[in-house]
Amino acid sequence: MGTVIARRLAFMVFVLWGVTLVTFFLSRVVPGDPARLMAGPEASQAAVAHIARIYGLNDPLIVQYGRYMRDLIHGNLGFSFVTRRNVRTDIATFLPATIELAGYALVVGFVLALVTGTVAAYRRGTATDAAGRLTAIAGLSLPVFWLALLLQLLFHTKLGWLPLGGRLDPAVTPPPHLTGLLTVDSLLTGDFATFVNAAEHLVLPVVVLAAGVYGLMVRIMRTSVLDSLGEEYVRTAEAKGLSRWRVLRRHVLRNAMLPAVTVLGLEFGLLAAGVFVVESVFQWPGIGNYAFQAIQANDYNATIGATLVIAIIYVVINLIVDIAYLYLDPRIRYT
Amino acid sequence: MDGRAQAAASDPVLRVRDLSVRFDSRRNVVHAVNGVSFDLEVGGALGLVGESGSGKTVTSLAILRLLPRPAARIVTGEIWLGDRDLIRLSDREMRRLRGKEISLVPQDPLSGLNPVLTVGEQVVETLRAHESIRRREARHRAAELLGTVGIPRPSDQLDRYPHQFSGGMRQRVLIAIALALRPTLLIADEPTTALDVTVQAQVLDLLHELTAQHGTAILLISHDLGIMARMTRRIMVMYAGYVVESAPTVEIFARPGHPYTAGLLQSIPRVADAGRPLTPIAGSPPELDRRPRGCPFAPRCAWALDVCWREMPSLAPMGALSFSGGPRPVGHLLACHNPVAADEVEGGRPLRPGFRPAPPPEDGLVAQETT
Amino acid sequence: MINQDAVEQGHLTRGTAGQLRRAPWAVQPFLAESRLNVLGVAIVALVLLLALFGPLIAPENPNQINLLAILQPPSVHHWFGTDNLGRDLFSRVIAGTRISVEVAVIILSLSVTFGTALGIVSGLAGGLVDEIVMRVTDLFLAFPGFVLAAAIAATLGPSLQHTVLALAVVFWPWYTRLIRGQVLSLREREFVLAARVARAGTMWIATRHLARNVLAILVVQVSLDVGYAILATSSLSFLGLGAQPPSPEWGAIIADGRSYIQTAWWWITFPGLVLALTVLGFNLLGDGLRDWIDPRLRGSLGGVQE
Repeated sequence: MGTVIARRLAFMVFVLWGVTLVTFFLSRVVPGDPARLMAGPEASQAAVAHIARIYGLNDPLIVQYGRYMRDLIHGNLGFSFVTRRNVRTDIATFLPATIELAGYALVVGFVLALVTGTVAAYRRGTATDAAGRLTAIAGLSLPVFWLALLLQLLFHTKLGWLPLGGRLDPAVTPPPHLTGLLTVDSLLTGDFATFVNAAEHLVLPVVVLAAGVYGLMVRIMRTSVLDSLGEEYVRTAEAKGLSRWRVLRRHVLRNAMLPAVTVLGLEFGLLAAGVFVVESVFQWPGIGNYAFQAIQANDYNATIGATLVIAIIYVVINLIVDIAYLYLDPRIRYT
Repeated sequence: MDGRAQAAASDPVLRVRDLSVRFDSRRNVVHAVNGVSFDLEVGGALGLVGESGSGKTVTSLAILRLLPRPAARIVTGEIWLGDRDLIRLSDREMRRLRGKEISLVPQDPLSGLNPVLTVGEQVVETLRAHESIRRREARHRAAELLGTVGIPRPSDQLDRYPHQFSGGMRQRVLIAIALALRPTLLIADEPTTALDVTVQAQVLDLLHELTAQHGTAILLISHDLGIMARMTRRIMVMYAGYVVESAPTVEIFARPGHPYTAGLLQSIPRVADAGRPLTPIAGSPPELDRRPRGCPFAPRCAWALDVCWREMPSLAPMGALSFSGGPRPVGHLLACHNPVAADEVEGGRPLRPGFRPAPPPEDGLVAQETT
Repeated sequence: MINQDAVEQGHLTRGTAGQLRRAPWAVQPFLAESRLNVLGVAIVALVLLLALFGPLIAPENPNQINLLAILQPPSVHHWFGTDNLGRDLFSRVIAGTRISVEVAVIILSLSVTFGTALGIVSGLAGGLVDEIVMRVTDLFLAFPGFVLAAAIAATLGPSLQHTVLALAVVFWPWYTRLIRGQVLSLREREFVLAARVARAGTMWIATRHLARNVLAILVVQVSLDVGYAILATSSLSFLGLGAQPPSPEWGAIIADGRSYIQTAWWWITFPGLVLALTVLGFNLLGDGLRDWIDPRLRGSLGGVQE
């Protein structure tokens, strides 16, 4: 086990290095002058030259790469000319919002997929099963941006039930910054009204994101529950006289969850993709929106910085998922 | 041995009457079990033998009421456990019986135990499902149980996982679980098939010893006639969902009546016969979605007559039928138009001069029912 | 119970692990299997038709500006309504169909060709070559796909061509991994075969086996990926990284309509609906093919056969 983990860690380091390489490559291999792009379209010639000098953009690529890596290790992601702040500060500001959004979406999608997948497996071959399959495919097929816009149209414009975007109504004061997750912070400080407001704003974006999570997970759940149900130990458990609920929980689901865990990594990929679009549509002040604005404004450092951070998070989470899986399955844990 | 069996025969612990089970799928209907009836006395040992598709496992699942739900249906029959008809019981009542009055030792020890739970947890679970005892006491009893099935240092083993045990050990655990609550009936489905030959004997002995100790009746299911000899007092031979022969174990081995039984005996390799070719039963088990018009074994039977293709023989005491040799003992039931004679048993082939098995008529095997 | 007829007609083969597979081109039984399959095939057929014959079907020129008919709700004249420049949205959506299909074809051609070739080479060569290829593949797969594509498209400059390239870069590693896996498992069997009978005929059969299996899996993967490719392209265009105005690409149309969402609900609704249905169709098709090709015999009897 130890060697397996060590190897995974080593691989992760390799991948992270590769990620930095790719993003560096992207940031330098640009049609046009990198200095101009970093300085921004408005900057004067002198400013451009200044930027070029500061960032050493005229040096050979290897040197530039070395400097880039050194900066990265010190956590320096450059300066955003749009926000006039360090990219690192920007990301630290915007990351919690994305975590809150993605976190809820993952939980909601996962739970829904668990329930639906299990029911579909138990009612295999019936109309319920087919309905489950259809919703799964719908979840994967519906364009995220379109679903977001439609829900906005329906629930805000036509029905007025839910807000258009943002995390809170402008009039509401945000709770003190403890975790950066508004729902958590407002609960922790006992501010129930703010909690409700934050929750209202979360509903639509979470639903949209959760649809993709659900779509991917539900079929896997169904398959793994079916596999579990076909195993001899379920029959043994039933023959012991255990209640159906116990059989489901302790025997069927515990085994069925294992394959589902392996998919979590892919789920994060989906979330990363969805976050861009959803935050843009709902004006959610998270990393996705930040990156999107950066792209629009040709803010190079911000774009690359955000991409890098997202990629790193993705890689790390995949590693965590891999290792968690190794622990969850006793057959692997105690070999 | 027989005396004791007869004395206890007054009130059978299990009485199955005319059990028929049907599987419905999108494409066809499968008659897995057809009109099976038998008794099992208290502390008795009955063997159900047959190939895959014979209906033996389905019968056992029917007794446990664990048939796959939308697909399988008990079409007719009664299953009496003592004074209760299991088929009429509700799910809840049935659940109370399972594990406590009737239990199961499943086929494959590898997949019969949940891989993500410790062995101890799985034994404790059984105990706590039927008795309200504390976890600590349950663990204590679990360790005791593991000890009775011959697992060394049982208290240490409680927290280990199934994959850390050998096949034989796992099977012992399953036996411990099955006998934990001293059931009146134990169903053992191919308990040794997945095990090494050397381990098989040990496990069988263990089963024999423990069931005798507790007075548990055992229904042993297998395709292997060999283990039947050790374990059972009576054997029922099944083919294509029908009982084709039912007799005391000694009878089955010494004087089988049904050609299929004779065939099964022939295909047991015996050390004494080393060097002689095995005579397998030609052909393969029938597809169960067609109901044969006559005897289901006819296509593979070396004794087949014309009537065999047309008319299903009914299960009747063999005393009435006799080809050559004297009267047959009572308690030997047979469903056959043309039984095996005493001298034909050895060779496994009919010895009647000029006899050829009857060929199928044009409408031999017919699908009599569609979905 | 194996249907001998199906085997003889070539509908059933054995996969590289010995499992049974049905042929994807056995159309009739495939359609009979499930109504969802029929739906998938129907949608895909319709989409392809529109892509091919679009210009003939569209009532108006998709780029025809008509300032007299701006922001018209859906009517008999304009089934999907018009946009802020009076362009008929129905015609634009049809034109967009052609774009989407073309784009998907190009993306997949590039990624499948490159990925498959690389996978075959890697699988057959083994050793250091294989190791290097797999590391690079893993590296690309380590990025969240959409994010990588967005970054590439942003770097190269927003345009449809760059988006296509970016997505091809995102898709190819999947094929490399897939094909390499198949090659590896078949290579083992091939050795066994070759060891037993050293005849040219056996190699030919083995290669045909490989081709048939790989083809089946490829067909499934490609039909699923067409849907994702179209979805990704539209999403990138929506974000402004893909097709640029006045291109009638679906994502771009919806992006344009976003500011008018309160006044002209039809602008985003219909193109999005068409996009959703198209992706749904391809997903249903791919999904159905996947279930079809690997029939699970566990089905009808619920696992108990005795």
